[in-house]
Amino acid sequence: MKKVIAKNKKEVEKYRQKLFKAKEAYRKEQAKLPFEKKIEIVMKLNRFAREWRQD
Amino acid sequence: MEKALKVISRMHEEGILEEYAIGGAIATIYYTEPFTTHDVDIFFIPPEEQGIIRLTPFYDFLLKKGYKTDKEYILIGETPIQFIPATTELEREAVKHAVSVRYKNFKVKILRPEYLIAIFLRVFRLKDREKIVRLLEQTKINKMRLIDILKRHGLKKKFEDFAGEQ
Repeated sequence: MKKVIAKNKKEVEKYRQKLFKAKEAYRKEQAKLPFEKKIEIVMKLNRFAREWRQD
Repeated sequence: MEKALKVISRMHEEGILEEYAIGGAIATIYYTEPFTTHDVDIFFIPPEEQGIIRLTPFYDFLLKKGYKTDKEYILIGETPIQFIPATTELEREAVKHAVSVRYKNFKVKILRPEYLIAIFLRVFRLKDREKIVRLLEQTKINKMRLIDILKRHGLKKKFEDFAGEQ
């Protein structure tokens, strides 16, 4: 990530679109992880979800 | 979850669970980004002997091993497992065409993405629709196979309507 400034709403929107595009690319990268790694992530996510519910 | 997958693999090796495949969210995750899920769905073709269909052929085996039940689930470690008898033609076909995948030092059977889409399309709750979208976006779908499955199981129109909304 770099320092970003915007001069107008159009540039803000352009930056937002860039973020969303990066998010989609990240999701596609995650889809390529080995199954073992994905299950590890699922277990972590489940643990977080349980902890949040207890808070 | 890992323990659950290992037990399922062992049950298959020991002939307790002959024709089976993991479906639902865990099978979807094999093809997509990981997301939260709390249970494992196992589709299996129930063995039939002399007109009696055994819907829980694994029950005694798991209870003897000390696993507990909770409603319609069996708990392996902290993971609830639901064994779903594959009784529709679509589900039986999906189980028969499942793929064997490696998980650490053992193998488990997983439904193909095209069959997952068809099954989710049939159930069609919000979470099923989300999984269809994930699969379509994030994995390589064999379109010929998908269309063939959808046509033969009367789901083509429903898929086209759904895809048109996306």
